[in-house]
Amino acid sequence: MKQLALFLSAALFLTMGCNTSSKTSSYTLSDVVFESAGPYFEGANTFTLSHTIDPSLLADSAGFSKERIASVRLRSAVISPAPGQSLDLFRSFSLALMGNASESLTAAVLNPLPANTGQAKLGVSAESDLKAFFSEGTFYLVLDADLKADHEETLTLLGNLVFEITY
Amino acid sequence: MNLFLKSTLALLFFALNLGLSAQADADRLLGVWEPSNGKARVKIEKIGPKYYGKIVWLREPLDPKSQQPKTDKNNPDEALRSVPLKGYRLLKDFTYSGNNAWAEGSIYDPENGSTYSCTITMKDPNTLDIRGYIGISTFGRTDVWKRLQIPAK
Amino acid sequence: MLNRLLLGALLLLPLLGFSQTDSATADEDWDMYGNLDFADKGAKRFCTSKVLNLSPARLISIGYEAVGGASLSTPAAVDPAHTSLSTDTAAARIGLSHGLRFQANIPLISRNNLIWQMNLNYQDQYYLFENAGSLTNPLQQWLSRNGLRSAGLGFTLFKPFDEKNFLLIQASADASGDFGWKRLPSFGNLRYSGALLYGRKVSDRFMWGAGISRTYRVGELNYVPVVLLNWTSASGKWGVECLLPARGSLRRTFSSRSLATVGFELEGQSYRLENADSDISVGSPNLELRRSELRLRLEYQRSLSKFYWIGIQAGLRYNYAFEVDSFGPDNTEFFRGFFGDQKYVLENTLAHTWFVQVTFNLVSP
Repeated sequence: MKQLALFLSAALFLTMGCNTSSKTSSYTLSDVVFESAGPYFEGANTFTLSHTIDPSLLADSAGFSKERIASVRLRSAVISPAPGQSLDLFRSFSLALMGNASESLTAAVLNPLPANTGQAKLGVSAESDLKAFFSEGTFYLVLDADLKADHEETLTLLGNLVFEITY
Repeated sequence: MNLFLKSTLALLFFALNLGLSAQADADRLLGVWEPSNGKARVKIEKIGPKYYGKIVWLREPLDPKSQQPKTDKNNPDEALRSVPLKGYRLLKDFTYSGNNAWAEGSIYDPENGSTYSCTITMKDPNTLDIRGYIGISTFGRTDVWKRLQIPAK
Repeated sequence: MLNRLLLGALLLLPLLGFSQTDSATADEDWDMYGNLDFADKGAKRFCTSKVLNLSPARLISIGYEAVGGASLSTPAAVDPAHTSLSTDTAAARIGLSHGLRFQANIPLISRNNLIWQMNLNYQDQYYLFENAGSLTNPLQQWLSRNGLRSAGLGFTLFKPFDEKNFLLIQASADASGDFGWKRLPSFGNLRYSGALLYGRKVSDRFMWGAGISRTYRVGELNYVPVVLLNWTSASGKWGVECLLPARGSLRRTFSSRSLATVGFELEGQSYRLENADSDISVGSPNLELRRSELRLRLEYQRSLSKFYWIGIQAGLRYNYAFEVDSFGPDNTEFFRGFFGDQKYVLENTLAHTWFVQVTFNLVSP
């Protein structure tokens, strides 16, 4: 009995020692500007943003290390209009990531946009793993914004994106 | 001007022209194209160094059941099934590999939600061979796309 | 100094020479895309060979089938002059029969104005008789020892003429019998089949065709009209897939990755009894077993991963024909059709039974 208890304790200890727990941290882009030159026509208009990974944007003290990344998921994507502009012009948004060395992935969509909303909270894809973009270090965020009608004045869209990095 | 200087200038000029010429060759893919079945029209554009093709017109733009604009309802990822098909990038990540070919890309079929490896070959300035395949090129199909004339502004 | 600057510029040239022109943000009036003409005035549109939500076409299929127990009654020979099989009559019971099925459909040319595909198929069936050791009838002994085997090579050609009209041609050569790796089939015993159809693709959800075929699906040579019918409902959930009289089914699509069908298929071949076993005397060497069966079946197909699918089929095997014919000393195929009066050497009775089939398939784009 004593030997069995000793054996089980040793086994439990070894198991705990071998179990490397994963660590997550948040990477937040606040009020990033999606740009597109007008005039705009009814239908999908492409707003783009180029981003280079900035370790200082990590929401906690975990150091950024692209070699240690296990996966990256988009946890939240909220699109807002620039001051003085309105989201009522738009029917839908879809957000994709594209990289020079990575395969592009669609990460979030909202279709249709609710009426009279000041912010568009996109539905994020839980399956799209964005690890390759973070490993590469630089990527494009491409926002396809579907306009209800032709529009002449310049439009600016602001994005608040939260990525979850798992090491 | 000494010989080294002359040679360097000549080489500089040659290399610059070569680079710009390769870029011009690659950008011949840009434009609006129609697949052989005529069900859609696709605009090929460039984002960064890669080429993408997005649907800009559908012969039947509305879902017959809901009478709403068609969405990507067959996407394997449920969260992405509401992405509108008009504006959808079904050709993705192509890079120019020389010799009238663009490779390392993929083509998505919204009718069944499948993504295939793909190569594009320009047979002439108005004709593309779009070959989608699984694994090896033998298990694939080639569709011939024709360029559409954009009226001059 | 100037030389160094030029050298530096030369080294930096690769970075400068490839500016990333981004065309995605250029203005675009979406209304114009519906009114464009081809840049080439002679460009044509062509119809495809499929309708929406059709069952996925199989590039490679590997499967296994089990068929339930059935009684086999072999009566006295109808025409004893052609065989020594007439010496015995017997009833036996097949406990189970089983076998491998393989199919490959390789696209040789696959373009929008022509699809030319090569088809390879192989199937075998082994008969596990109850009390196999005590069988006395030569035909039953032969089936127990050798089973039936069929291998074929053919091609399918789909030629669309425009957005609506197309031609479909199929042709194949099959070797069927008791051959094996140690004894390959004789080319003189190949059986040839084919079909020629003209069709119309009415819409993305409906296509039909009609034509004529030369077939062995009823167990022996016959010429029958064929009708192709592929239809999908507006909802995309229901459909019909028919190539009559060979097969027909009603389809229910659950998603882009799973579907079920209920329907039938007529299977058949003419198997040469080469009779290389010296201890089983089946008399004349020019005998063929005319086998045909109607399968009523329910099938479920599902994607396991991307293009790898599984198909599970179960149903009733209704035996239509299991007769033995003789080709006489000239060994040439003859046409009996539905109204011919040539006599069979043996008219066997094989009972109906159940079957189950599982296939693993690589499906095509």
